[in-house]
Amino acid sequence: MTANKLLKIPTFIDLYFDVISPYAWIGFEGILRYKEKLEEKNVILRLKPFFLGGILNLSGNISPVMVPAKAKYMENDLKMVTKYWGLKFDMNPKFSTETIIKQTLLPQRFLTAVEQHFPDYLIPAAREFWKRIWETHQTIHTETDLKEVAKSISLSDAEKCIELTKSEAIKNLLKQRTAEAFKSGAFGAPWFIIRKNGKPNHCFWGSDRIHIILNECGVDFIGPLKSKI
Amino acid sequence: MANNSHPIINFYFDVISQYSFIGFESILQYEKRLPAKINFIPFFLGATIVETKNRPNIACPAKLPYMKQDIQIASRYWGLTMKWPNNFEERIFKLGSIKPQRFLTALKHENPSFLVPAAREFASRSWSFDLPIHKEENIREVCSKLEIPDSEKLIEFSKSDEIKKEYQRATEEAIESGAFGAPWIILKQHGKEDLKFWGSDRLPYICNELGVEFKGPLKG
Repeated sequence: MTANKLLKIPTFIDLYFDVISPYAWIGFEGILRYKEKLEEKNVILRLKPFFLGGILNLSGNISPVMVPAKAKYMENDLKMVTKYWGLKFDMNPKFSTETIIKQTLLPQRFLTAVEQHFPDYLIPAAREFWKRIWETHQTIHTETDLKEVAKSISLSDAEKCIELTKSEAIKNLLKQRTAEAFKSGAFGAPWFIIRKNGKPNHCFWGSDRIHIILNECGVDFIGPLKSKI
Repeated sequence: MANNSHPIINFYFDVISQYSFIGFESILQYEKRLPAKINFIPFFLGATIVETKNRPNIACPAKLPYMKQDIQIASRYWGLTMKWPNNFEERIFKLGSIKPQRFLTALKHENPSFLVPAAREFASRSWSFDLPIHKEENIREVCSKLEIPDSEKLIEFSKSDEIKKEYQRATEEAIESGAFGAPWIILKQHGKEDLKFWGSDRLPYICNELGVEFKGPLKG
């Protein structure tokens, strides 16, 4: 960073995500493609696991899969959108009946623990959960699943992270981040907050506002940047 | 029907929806660049939501403050002036848009070159200038401003069974194709499956499907 940037307070984009949400996956991947371009403008991306189930309860919103026409739309939409971004996608027939029902409290606590103690593993860990849902169609909600995720990403201290999911510190941090997102107006995922020093926060819901988010940060949207995969 | 060289975009909209307005204006900015014929089709959003057992946006209280801010930013991005009306809930739940939408259906039938200007006029009355659109006299105001010929005949026609049925048919067509909200966009290309898009921010994907570069807002 230049001396100029060291002196200037960065803008932050906080991305609140839950692996239960395929659109959070798209938003996550999409904004990450632009990480370096954002950093050139002194905009720092912060990835924050939160609990979408909690957000839905707090806001009185419902999952889109509860509306049959939306569930049907989602399947085709995700095929198209993942193709655009160069992501591997195979519709999981058990998504509505199993993944959503079993909830993601444990994986999200795990990601919170990883984010706090092994931050370099956060992105691979989140990606591994999404891969299990949308490519290999495996479960994500048990401790065995967490161990498999840790093994896949070569995270050696899986036991520590699993222990941490039971700790008050990690449980509270997940709760706190969820409350923080809700307080800022969140009712779904992904939830982006642009925090510019001295200016009001701007919040964005969904994965199809990336061009507008980038525009707010002075970065041109030039497509999916698949070269960055 | 799409032939080999001419994809079709069916753009279903209801002027009751701010996101319809944004989607409408943004796709019009790209109209000349998109190698497709765009059909603007008035449909009944309220009936669509009820029929699909969906809920309007604002059934979730947290969505309302978000919408106010989101509309501000999205409209600024696209170069639109949008102002939150004083009677938002009344417009959505009480006053509605049936009369102007049926009028637009009649216009599409009889004098389609006025469809886009009239739709734009109704939508901007609602969402830029906080003016009413639900009464017959408002339709006359729009006709007068745009100098739409035979406006009285058109207003009468918009109240006919034929136009009521056509409006219903377009709505059912949208629902059958999977619509649950607005705007609802179908891209038809020869030899490919129809692609469906919901919402006002799908233009990057639509452009990509048609091999056109998305360059953000093209206004001004």
